[in-house]
Amino acid sequence: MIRDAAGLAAAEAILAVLGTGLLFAFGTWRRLPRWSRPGPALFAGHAGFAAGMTPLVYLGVSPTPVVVGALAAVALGGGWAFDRRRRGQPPAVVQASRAGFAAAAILAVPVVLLAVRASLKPVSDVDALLDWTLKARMLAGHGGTLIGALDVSYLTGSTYRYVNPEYPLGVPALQAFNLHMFGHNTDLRVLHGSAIVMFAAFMATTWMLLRPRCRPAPLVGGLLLVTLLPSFVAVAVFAQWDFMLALFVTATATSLWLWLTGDGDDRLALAALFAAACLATKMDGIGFAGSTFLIAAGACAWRRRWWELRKLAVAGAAAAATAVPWQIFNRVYGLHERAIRPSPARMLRQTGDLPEIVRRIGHIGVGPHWGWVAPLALGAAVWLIILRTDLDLAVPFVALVATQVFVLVVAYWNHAITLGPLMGASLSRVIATPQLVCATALPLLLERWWARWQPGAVPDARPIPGNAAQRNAVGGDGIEPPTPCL
Amino acid sequence: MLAMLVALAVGFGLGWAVVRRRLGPQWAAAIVLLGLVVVTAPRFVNTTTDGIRREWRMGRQAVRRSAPRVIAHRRNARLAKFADSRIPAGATYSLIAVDPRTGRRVSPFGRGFAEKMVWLQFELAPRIAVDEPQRWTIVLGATPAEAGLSPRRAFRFDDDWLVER
Repeated sequence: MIRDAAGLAAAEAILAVLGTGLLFAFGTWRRLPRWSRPGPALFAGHAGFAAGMTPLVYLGVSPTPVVVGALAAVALGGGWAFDRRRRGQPPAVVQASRAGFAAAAILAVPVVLLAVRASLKPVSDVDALLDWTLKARMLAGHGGTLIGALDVSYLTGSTYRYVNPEYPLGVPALQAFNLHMFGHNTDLRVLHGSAIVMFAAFMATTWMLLRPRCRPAPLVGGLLLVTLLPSFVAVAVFAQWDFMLALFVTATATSLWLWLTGDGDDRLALAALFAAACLATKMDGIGFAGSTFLIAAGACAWRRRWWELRKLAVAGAAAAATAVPWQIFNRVYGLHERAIRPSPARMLRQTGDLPEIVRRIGHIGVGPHWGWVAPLALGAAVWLIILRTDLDLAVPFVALVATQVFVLVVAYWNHAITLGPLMGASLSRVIATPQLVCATALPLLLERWWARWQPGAVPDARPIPGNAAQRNAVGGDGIEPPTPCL
Repeated sequence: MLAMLVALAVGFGLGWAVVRRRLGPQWAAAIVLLGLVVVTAPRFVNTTTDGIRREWRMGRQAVRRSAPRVIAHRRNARLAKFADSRIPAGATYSLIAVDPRTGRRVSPFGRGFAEKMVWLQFELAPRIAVDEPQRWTIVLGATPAEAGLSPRRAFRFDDDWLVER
């Protein structure tokens, strides 16, 4: 077990190098204080692995330490060379704050508990056995150091018809990489620890992204709440594929919102990276990531920001391009989703199921297991819309959650197997994505809602001093000013 | 529950006027979130520590052989363990299921076989189960003869067999 933990630590270190290269390339690295860098680098590394390694797996490359190490070295070298071109710009003068260290200390307690819990848990979920970890063991057990991990016979053979062969191989590839680092393919417990490490990196990234827009106390409270939500914890431990998707989708939405509100083009690059990771994680990623970009495009069009719309289209196309090998593979081998098959005729035939689908989604969406975050966040956002203030936050947020719920409704509406068991087995997992979006936006929404609702409140659309929007408003130079951001 | 709600309502009412005027947005938001944290934290602590305690006590082998509840009572763990030790790494194997009532070959996904098959496929991975007959064949629900096989060696585990041809 100690050897496995060491292997996991080494795997995460390689991913952090990969992420560092990507942050260099995007220009995010120099915007971060020194102690803020490891978390976002690790999360970007996970996203970079999913976005970069998954297409390579479909092209026959093995997810071995040699390949991933080479990928990380290329990313680091390329990113550093790219970043050198920005030498004309002065580096950001940033300072770490005590709030950041305090937040890290507070959040570390539940995260460490969760990591221990996840790392002791055996692989005992039907989906893991049937699908994710089975594929990971196949990928880790076949091929050589460089090529040959993907043996199509188990994805196309009739005895493996329930392994969801049409799903992208991002999560299995990550697990296979971890298995290579463990040096064996048998005791799979520590495998679960990877998702919790990624969760910790996600929280550091969210802190880094949102801290200039939100004060420390509510932000810590929001992130702590995310860690403690009973259903989210269950998804983190028992359904890590949906958990990873929720993290990537939320990071995509956060980055895109920051880009839309003038936080710099590196946020758009991050959004594209996270969206590509969504596409490599699960089938649902297409709907969730696509809807996020669609809403951003709508916001650009509404404000007649055509140049930004063009940049958004390029970023979206770059993210979508990473899914091309996966889609070609599916077309070539005739792989398609069995449980959900979208078609207008099916939707017409199954219209009667809509009330039940909406009822079940609504029931689980506002229930206590998700800490009432969705009704609270949506209530605050709708209130802000009624007051016609902070529309740049409230409107995209409501639109995003509504679209994600719509995606789920449409998916279940097109069910090709019995609806009851399908929703019973999957809804509590897939609802994690909209719930995490709500939980992440909750501190921002509550803070703004209270500020507008207080007697004598003066509408103030300005962000907290020191962030990029303010900088841009005064003809900014693209460099982050000193911010109390760990 | 009712007492807690009443206490919350009274506290809310008393502090309302003061809070609404005096409390800054960041602290108001933090207090709401802290309230939710307080409500959710006990459950988190209980479930997490219970899980840690339970799984810490499990031995390495117990962890290795633990299975989902829906599979645990139907899998043939002895067969899986034995096949794992016998079938060479890198070899392929085939799975045959026979309906004991009709004596006919059926899909391994049929009722009663799916759980066994899922467990076998997972335990024997990265060996691949293929459709065509192989040197190593696992017969579920019947004898090798009933499945039409002429084995060189056969090993029985309850109703299921591992056959070497």
